Amino acid sequence: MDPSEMIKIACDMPDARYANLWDSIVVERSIKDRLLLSAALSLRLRAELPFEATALHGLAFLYGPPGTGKTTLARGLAYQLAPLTTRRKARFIEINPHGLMSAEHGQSQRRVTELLTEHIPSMADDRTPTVVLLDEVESMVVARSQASLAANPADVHRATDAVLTAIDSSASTLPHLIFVATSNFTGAIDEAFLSRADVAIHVPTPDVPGVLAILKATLEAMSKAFPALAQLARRPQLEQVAKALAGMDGRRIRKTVSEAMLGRLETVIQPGDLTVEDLMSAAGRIKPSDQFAQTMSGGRNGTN
Amino acid sequence: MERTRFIAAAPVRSASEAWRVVSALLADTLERSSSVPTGSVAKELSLLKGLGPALIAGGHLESKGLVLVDTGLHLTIRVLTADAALEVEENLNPVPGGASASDGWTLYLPSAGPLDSAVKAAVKNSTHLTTDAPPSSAPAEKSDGASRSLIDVNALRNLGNKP
Repeated sequence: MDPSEMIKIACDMPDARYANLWDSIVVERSIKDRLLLSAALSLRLRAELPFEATALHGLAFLYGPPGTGKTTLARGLAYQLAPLTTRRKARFIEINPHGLMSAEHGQSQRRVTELLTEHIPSMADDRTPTVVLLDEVESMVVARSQASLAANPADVHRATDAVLTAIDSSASTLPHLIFVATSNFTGAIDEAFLSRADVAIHVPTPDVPGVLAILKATLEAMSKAFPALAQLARRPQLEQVAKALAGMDGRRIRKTVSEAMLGRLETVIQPGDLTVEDLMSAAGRIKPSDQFAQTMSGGRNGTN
Repeated sequence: MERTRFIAAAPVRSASEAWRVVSALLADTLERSSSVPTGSVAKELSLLKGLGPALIAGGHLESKGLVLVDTGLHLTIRVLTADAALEVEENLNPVPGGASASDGWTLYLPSAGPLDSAVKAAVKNSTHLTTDAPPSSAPAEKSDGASRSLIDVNALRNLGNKP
């Protein structure tokens, strides 16, 4: 496989396509601040001091339930970082994690090594601050302590070792590289990888004001095609809908609007006729996913 | 970071062709830098015209290889023959670190037995080629904090002023 096939996205910032990603995710301001400032601090310190002094690996880890915006935040980070850099530009590279893993003996390790120590450093060779997204990182750095005998443990070990080696190497030699890893399955990730994270940020499901903001944002976005939805977005009764949706992730909350439209033929024909009652009814139909409880049960708690 | 690239010679390709591959790899790597003019690497390597293929044919680049060194760049190029050439996985992409190479790059040539005197004579007046022993690692970048800085502190301050 050509290394370039393992790259999902590679683009220079500012790029207008990424301008709204950051703001589209409704999370506590402190989460965004922490991610952006940790990236800026890492670039600032690692460019001027050796690894022995900073102990920074240039690795940020975002974890939390599915649908909370971790990947979107990571995708938006480079755009936010660009105006803070001396050259006013940054680069974003997203790896296709599933393209790295191979059933063929030894191939996973070879691909990981080639990608992280050769291909990506080459793409970032001009020292432009570069954010590398390792989405669903659990598929790359499987917890070696839990590697199944049925899953070729030698290859799992080698692939995880290769990622760790590459992270260690770039920590000292490529100070302009920032890795952002995301996962819903922290319990499945190798502990040595987690210990290398400079910052681990929990991205939770939104609270009631957060749910309300997501609902309003969704309705307002849809009002460009169906203007009546802008009025619905301003209805104070939406807060009751938000309370009914509390505990759900952002993706599911957004889908509640289309689910509500599905409730009546009239709103399928004319989505602008949607009412608070439609939304309440949809909220009752949608059960909070228990995936969060399942996936995070093996996860670590708190942030560092 | 120390890197090694392997190039296959006979029976995969002739010594002359392998030398052209080595030359192209060096040029592709170094000439990504604005400090290294296009064509300058080939011009420098032309000092080894005839000798480069001879070094390969004689197996002098099999174990020690050529070593390219610059700030942040330490690349060993080994040219393999026989069974090893058939098994090697080549990576001919430009080597990371080349884009920030300086005009002070140096290519260290290994001792070459009977070819030693010819090689030394060829590189005698070169500014980039030498038969000296290579350093074990790349020289550290000069710690000029201002020029290496990646983050604009004033832009960070402005971030703090945003609502």
